Order: sequence, then C-alpha cells, then structure tokens
Amino acid sequence: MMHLFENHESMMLRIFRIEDTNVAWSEEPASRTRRLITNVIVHKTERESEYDVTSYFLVTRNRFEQHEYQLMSGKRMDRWRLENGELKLARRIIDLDMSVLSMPNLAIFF
Amino acid sequence: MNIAANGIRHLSDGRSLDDLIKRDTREVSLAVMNDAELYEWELQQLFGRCWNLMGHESEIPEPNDYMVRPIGEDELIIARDRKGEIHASLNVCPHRGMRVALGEEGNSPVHKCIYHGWAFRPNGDFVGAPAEKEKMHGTIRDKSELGLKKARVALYGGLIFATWEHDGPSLEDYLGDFRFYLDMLWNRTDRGTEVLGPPQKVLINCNWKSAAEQAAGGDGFHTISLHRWLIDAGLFVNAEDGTPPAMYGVNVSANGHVVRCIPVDMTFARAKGAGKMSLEERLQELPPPGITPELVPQLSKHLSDDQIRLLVEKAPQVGGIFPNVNFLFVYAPQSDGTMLGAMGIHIIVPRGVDKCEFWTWMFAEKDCPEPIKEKMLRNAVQQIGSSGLIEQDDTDTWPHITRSARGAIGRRDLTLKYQATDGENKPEGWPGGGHVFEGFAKDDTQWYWWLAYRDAMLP
Ligand code: FES
Ligand SMILES: [Fe+2]
Repeated sequence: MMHLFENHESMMLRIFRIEDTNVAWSEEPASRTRRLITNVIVHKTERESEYDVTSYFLVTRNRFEQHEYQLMSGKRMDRWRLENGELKLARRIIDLDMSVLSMPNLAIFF
Repeated sequence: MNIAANGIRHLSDGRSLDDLIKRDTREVSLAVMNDAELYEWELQQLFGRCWNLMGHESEIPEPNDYMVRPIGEDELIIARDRKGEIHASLNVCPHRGMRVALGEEGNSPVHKCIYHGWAFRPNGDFVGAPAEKEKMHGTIRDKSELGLKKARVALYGGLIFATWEHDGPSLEDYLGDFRFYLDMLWNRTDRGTEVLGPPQKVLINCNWKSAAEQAAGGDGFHTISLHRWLIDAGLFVNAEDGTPPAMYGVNVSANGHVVRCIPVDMTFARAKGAGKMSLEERLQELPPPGITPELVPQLSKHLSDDQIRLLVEKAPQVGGIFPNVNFLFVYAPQSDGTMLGAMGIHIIVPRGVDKCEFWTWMFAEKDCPEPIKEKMLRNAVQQIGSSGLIEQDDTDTWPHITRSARGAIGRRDLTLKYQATDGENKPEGWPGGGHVFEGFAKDDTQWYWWLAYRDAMLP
C-alpha cells in the first residue's frame, strides 16, 4: 500500500502549511522528532555525479504529554546528485516496516 | 451489563441508552467515548448486526483470491470461489481457535490452518483434517458442521458488505433511500469503479466513535476550524461571495447514512462562475469528481436526469455509510489549472475501547484513462489518508476526546452537543429522499448518526 507520494510541489505545500500558517494542527504544537540514520551504503551509478544511497532509519515522534513515542523504522533508497558542489536529493523511495502504522498520520518528513 | 437472551439493554450501573443519548436536548454523554461495557455492547449488537463494508470486488478479481477484513474485532476471510461468487467466513479455526489465513490477502484454493492442518474451502466449508483415516476431526460432528462460521454477503456498486444477521434486512433495505445518492457515485459508469491498490492502515488512539460520528456522520462544521489552514492558504475559497468555503450545500441523512452535496463554486476559486454555466458546459468544464470527458456519455445510461443535474451542480462530495464508513469524491484543482478528482473510502475499525484503525482505499472509474488513474492516485494520497494534507489534522484530534472521556467529572457531567440546527428544509423540487438540510453545515447529520446508533444498539 502507498502512504506517501510527494513531489517538489507537494513538499513545498507541506512546508508552507507548517511554516506559514499557525493552524496546521497535526504539527501545531510541533512534534518532538529525531531521525536516527544507520547502515548507510553509497553505490556508484552509471553517472559520475550521481550516487545511490541506501540507509535505515528510526524516527521517534512525541506529541503533547504522551507517555510513549510514536515510532517508525524503515529503509530509504535515495538517488543523490552532485550539482555545483552541492549534494541534492533527486529521488527517495521509502519502505516502512509496519503494515498498520502506529503513527496516526505522516505529517512529518522521512 | 445485562446480557439477556434478547440482547443488552443497559450498563451495569443502570444507565440506559436514553440516559447516554438525550433526545430531547440533542446531547450525548461524553462517557460513551471511553466505556468498556458500552464497547462490548457495540461489538455484539451494533457491529454484530449491521451491514459492514469489507472492501471492493476489484480487490479479489480472480477465483480463489481472498483478503482478510474486520467486522468489529472479528476477522473474516473474504474469498472468491471458482465460480466467481464472493463469500465471507470467520477467520478462526473451529478446531482450537487459531487464525486460519495469516496474511492480509492472497490466492489459495484451500485455507489450511497451520496449527493441526484442518483445511477449508474459499466458501468456508470444511475439507478435512490431515491423516484422514485416523479421523482427526472426530466422529461426533459431521464434516458439514465443522466449516468456518459463515457471514452473509451482498454487493452494492462493487462494494462488498457482510453481516452476521442471516435473517435481517437486505443490504438494499439497509441503504434504503440512500441508494439514490450512492448510485451517483458507485453505479454511474459501464464498468464501475476499481481500487487503486490495497488500503492504507493506521492506528489511532481514540474510541472508534470519535472518528465515526465525525467522518461517517458527515460533520462539515469542523472544516472551518480544524481544516482552517486550507482556507488560510487560499486553497478553499468561496468563489461566489467570500463566505466561508465548503460550508454551504445540502446535507442529507437517510437511514443513518449521510451525504453532503457541496457545489464546487462554493469551495474553489477555479470554479468561479460555474453557477451561470449550462449543464452541458459544466459537464465538460467541471465534470463531477472522478468523471473525465470520455466518461460523460456513460452517465446518462446509468443515472436519471435528476441525478445527473445533482451530480453536476451539487456534487455529493463527502458522506458516510452507517456505522463506520466515510467516502470522499472531492474536486481536486491542480496547479496547472486542470481539475482532477480524488475518490477515497475509509472504514473505522474498533480495536479496543480507546483504539481504532483507520483504513483508506483510493478509487477510480475502471474506464478512466490509465494516465488519469495514476494522477488520481497520487493526488488522493497527497490529500487524504495517512499523509493527506486534508486529513492528517483529523487523526491528531480524536485521541484528545477519548482522553477527555477518562476523567470522572467529565464522564459524569459533560455532554457532546448537537444543538446547531435550522430544522429540515428540503429545497423545492429536491429529487432524493431522506432528511434534507440545505444551508450551512450544522449538527443535523451527525445527530442522525447518533439516532441510528441508538437504534442499532437496541435489541
Ligand atoms: S487450531 Fe486449526 S487445526 Fe487445530
Ligand atoms: Fe476532517
């Protein structure tokens, strides 16, 4: 099943919603989040300036006075592109490790 | 709790449904949002007797395809047999209670319990136990008595429903006057709809009714506050006169099911002037959500003129099927100026007194051009469901209500109020049935959800 389908436009809208309105209620007040990234493997690609990068993540999220963390772990499969000395994310595919997500919404970035 | 042979009538402290749901003042006790006894009562009498949405026939197109789906906390195998017929049976092994199908979906001519190996057909019939000559199912009961417990199945517009009430009302009667509205969404094209993938599932720490009275009850009122960002960001604009967008329309409650018919020009600037267009112009320029110009000629084959007019001028954009279904057929203006539709359906699955799962399917008409289907799927995922920019605020709100319902004083003294109403006011010449409320979205359809809840809970 597909939970996320983002592009540049939709991500800008998410950022706008959080930064420029104060009524984005699923992140107002903001969650306390950490993104722990491990097992990073960088692969060369057919293009000199592009790299395929896989990594594992654990995201902790805590809201209000909740006694528990909302947790999400998974794998990210990225394509990074070197452009004018800057690394830019060109594509990201995320595999989540749960069938029924214990996080009620994906209002944060992965 | 009084479990008499003829059903539960009140809680063990003596409170009856009329104490919890006060019909004279249109109030509901806050305690209902977190009450273990009431929850048991709901599982038995409400979920145990209603027609429940199991999914869509396009999810199991081939013989022996199956999927595992919930009615309350019971789990069912929904399977298609060799002849194409769909069956629903309890996913519990009658031998010692093991779950039989362990995956969420699959294809198999037999469902074999991994524990001792009893096997069942897609229709639930018992095939046999291993070591046939040793008679490992015993000799006391006949094989015909050892199948999975069977539910009754009915389809409507491709949607699969199941109930444990083998002698209760038919699905058609259960929907009643609501079919007129449902047909505009699920029975309007030659080949009907199909799912765009398996459902999203998320867990919410709230009582299922916090979600259901809003989503299945047709609460339009919360848009103005909880979904405020859509208005602040200029995505929702009342093109006509600057009044709050997406709030005016016609709200209908029929048999506890709900539909909100919201004119597109009341929500999006893009639709400015739509009220002055002819029906033909609107069909081409602003077709109903999910309908592409190619599909327009099909509409008149399936719908009456009244239905087409309503679909075009006041599209049924959101609604619910009692008790726990919410559907959305919403206009989705794109930044390139084109208009797309997003079609989705949710079920709210109880998972204990203070937990529920929220499932989301995305849909398209089967005959919709493939590239549009792909766009519709991406757009729907961005708008509704787990990451949807519209719906993520809903799922973060409901847990607070369930939390509120734990406090002793709140439970005892607080009520949920459904008192904003102008009364029934069916517009002149309105073609459909049910209780019809034209104007600002008030508390009426949600209140009718509670009345349906009360009826469903009574023996
Ligand atoms: S529990 Fe299923 S075969 Fe024993
Ligand atoms: Fe909402």
